[in-house]
Amino acid sequence: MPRPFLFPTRITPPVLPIIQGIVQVLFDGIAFGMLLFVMSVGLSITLGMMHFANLAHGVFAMLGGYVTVVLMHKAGVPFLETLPAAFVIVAIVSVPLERFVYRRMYSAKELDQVLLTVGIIYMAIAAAAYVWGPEPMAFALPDYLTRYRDIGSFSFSTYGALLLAIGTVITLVIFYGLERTRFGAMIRAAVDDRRVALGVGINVNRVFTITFAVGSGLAGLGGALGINALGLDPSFPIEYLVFFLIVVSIGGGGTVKGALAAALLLGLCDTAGKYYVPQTGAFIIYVVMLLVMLWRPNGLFGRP
Amino acid sequence: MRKLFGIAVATALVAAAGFAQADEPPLKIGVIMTYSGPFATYGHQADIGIQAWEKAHGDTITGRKIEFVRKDDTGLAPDVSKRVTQELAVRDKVDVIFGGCWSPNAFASAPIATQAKIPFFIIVAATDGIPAKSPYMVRVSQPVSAAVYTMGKWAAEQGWKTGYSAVVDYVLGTAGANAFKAGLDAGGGQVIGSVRIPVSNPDFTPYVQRVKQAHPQVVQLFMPAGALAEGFVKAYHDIGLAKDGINMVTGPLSETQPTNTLGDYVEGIYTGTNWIDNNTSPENQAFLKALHETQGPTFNPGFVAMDIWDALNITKQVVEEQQGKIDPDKMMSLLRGHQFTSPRGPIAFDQNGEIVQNVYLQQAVKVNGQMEMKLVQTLPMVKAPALTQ
Amino acid sequence: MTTEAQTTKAIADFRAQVRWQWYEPLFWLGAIAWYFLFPTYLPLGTQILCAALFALSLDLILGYGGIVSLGHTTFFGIGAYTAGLLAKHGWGEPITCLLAGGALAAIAGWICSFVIVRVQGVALLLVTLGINLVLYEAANKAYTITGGADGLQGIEFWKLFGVFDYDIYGRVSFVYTLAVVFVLFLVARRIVHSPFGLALKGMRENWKRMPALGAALRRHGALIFVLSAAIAGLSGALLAESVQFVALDSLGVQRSVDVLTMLIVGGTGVLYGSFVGATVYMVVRDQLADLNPAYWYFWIGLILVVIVLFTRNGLVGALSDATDWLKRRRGGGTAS
Repeated sequence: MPRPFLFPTRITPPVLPIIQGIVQVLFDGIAFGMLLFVMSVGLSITLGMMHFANLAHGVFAMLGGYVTVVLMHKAGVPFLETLPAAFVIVAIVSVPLERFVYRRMYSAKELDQVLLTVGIIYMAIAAAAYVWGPEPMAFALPDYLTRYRDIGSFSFSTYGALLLAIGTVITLVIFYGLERTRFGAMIRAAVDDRRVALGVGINVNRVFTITFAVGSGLAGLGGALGINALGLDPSFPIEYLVFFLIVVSIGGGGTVKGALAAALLLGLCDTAGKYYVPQTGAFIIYVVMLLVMLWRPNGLFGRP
Repeated sequence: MRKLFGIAVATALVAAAGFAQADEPPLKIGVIMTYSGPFATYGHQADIGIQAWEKAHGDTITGRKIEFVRKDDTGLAPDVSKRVTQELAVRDKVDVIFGGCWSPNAFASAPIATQAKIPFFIIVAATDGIPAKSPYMVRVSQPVSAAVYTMGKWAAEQGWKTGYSAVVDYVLGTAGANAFKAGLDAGGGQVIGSVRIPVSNPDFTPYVQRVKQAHPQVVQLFMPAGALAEGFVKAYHDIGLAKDGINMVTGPLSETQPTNTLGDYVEGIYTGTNWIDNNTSPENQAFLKALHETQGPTFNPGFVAMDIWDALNITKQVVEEQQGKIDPDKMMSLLRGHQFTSPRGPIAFDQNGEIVQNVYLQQAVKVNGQMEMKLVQTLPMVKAPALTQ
Repeated sequence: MTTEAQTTKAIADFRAQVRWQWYEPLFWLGAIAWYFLFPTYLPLGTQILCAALFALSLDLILGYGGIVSLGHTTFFGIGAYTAGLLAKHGWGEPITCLLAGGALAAIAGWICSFVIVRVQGVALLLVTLGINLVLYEAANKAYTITGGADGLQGIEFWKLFGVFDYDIYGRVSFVYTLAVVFVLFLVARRIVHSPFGLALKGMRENWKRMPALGAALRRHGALIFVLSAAIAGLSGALLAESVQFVALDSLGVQRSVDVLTMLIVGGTGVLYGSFVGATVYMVVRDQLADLNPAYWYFWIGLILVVIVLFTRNGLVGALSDATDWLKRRRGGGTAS
């Protein structure tokens, strides 16, 4: 009887580590990509809808991280239960910022937007250092998330699985929300053409405030989820700014699909690069970003 | 009348002289640290060290009030560091400088220390050979190669003959990897692989996976204390290298005790540091007492605070030996080639201003459900080895 | 107004712009006065001048060419490392090192310009940033050449003109830097007031219409980019000579953000904006850092936000708005 070709019953030893490596890279890379997606999808939508270059997006992620740490340390709330709080609190905080500061700048030059948000980053860094101190925050995942589960000859981290699960759920909710709900249709209309949307009676400002809040909340959630992998200290918004920018620009502003593809690409490239060619360091992601930007200046899924 | 006037003048002169004697000029100490940006914790720790020292020793040395002039070097920025050193020399006219938070900053400041003849205590910078750049420098922190070399040798002596280096991807990391290799070689071991990890690195899993596959008996971690080193340790723990029999030796992991910031993650890891907080020497007890009085009883000190404490102690000692007058050349001759006491144990400066000190090998173990660092061995008076770069 | 009158007025306006204004000699006299007024602040003055020159180079592409760059420190760093490497390997003559730094940065700018003129908007930000990041990583990796994060050691610049040694008060350094910056300012002033400069302005205002007037957009864009890169390189080399040390921070993203901040605080497209911005930014930072070394970032951030929200074109814009307002008020007063 011929052996089934696709599913060999026993993998010979020299091949096993290679396959283990590939599976490991895929799993870790996608988990990391999901984390990046959750953190930066909000930025992508705001950029597409209001053409607002909000470099201070990382501030929301940082804030989410601090909410989680403070709740865990001061109130003894378990890690998983702090996550919704991180989402909600950050979303609420973002509303006045959008209303009173950002809204004035939607028609401003791109450069002014960049400078305004850089100013906000500086203020946030100093404020965080003042409130929580300049040291990195002590943080430990609960025990059940630090374990590795063996499935066959492969081992997966529970933390990675959590990132994957939350990322997938959020992706599905976003897609469903955008494609199937009335509010999603309003968002799409506003992204497509703001003036026409206004003309047909959509309250674009309100739609935008809500979208902005949700996007910021997601960044907060991502920041909270990511403390274990990314660390948390006051300079967080600067340290990971490049990552957000890469996701948004490779994906193209305003597309959830693009942000997802870009985040996964970035996660996989970064992980694979470190695994197979660690000597290149951060080169790979920068070069990938440069090439994509030169090939398609509006991003993989962006419209010209 | 004339006589009376003369008496009045004489009295006034005497009074003025007496007044001048009581009111000695302040002893100005310039402190150049990173007070802002991602590494602001160095400046924070330095201030804590200053507060604690003043609590314990008062704010005067031989009757001269100590005046601190704090300057922010903003991080790795040799131009800023050089400028503020110049300003401390020409504008503030300080007597002593504590600084050199980063190696390039220390290198850039060295010529100013030489030109202005100001004794300069290097606080954090770790590149080998910095104090030799100026005859007015001494280092109170530790050079890269000393502890790493010794730990490499020690690891080989434990029978861990195959080693792996995980070092940060910049020149300091290379120095760390070289020193470890030299140490392991000297003990009859061998380095079977190494990875260099970029500074802007969010995810350590792939690197730790590589170490796991290479399966050495000991992995050397050489990363800046803080987020980077902590991230690697977490991945080391999560992926279970310790269970696979891969030991880890490393330098300091956090600004404060690693058991505080990392908790259970550090279990089993060996650290080689120049100081242990549970040292029972009177110097260390005085240091901890002052810290707890100023920062609260639960405060966990960091090594920058201790560097500052030592720099102040040593300054006090040599200024007292000069009866309050600071002659820079005399002061340097009292520093280089002399031994002092410190919370970390005995320390000395060699003729190049480089520090010689103990390395304490500790292991993180769980005692009654609580993570603790347990002393394994004291490697006495370790010198930086002469390595070919 | 008839078209003819409009043209005449436009030409008159242009002439008026080219002529030296009353405040310009005052400004440079002020720079000279700094030497006598603040003898212990000369190192700060020198670094302000270097930063201002760097901001000026950015103003050429941003204020006049409409090219936004998040990675302009690429050329600053190339200039600094060129001068530093020459000095390290035995040639420490300051003026030739300076020129070499500018030349190499210009060549790098020329290579980059092929890419730069093809992208706009956010992509442009990312491409300039990406080039910068790749170069930073390269310099970090090539530590046998650059010294990596330890910085370039063993730099020794010779005495200026073989006579003046760099002194601890920074006097020689300040005078030398001021002279170089003034000469380069004159060059930049000449450029922006030439027909080429006018074409650039047109390009910035209306990208689509200029080709109709026969302007070669890409060639103009590339040319101003090369010029700007050269000046950025010169400013990097100048700073390297005054610090006598070069390290990775001269290629760091932070420096790009800082210089952009200075330019916006000062005002774009007016040349003096870079000087005003650099002075205000560095002096405020220096004073705030002395007051409270740990949290000065907050106040810098606040200043940035206020300037972006409430001024039309940085401090220079606010200043000219204020003088216009005063003039109008005075004019209105006499009329009534």
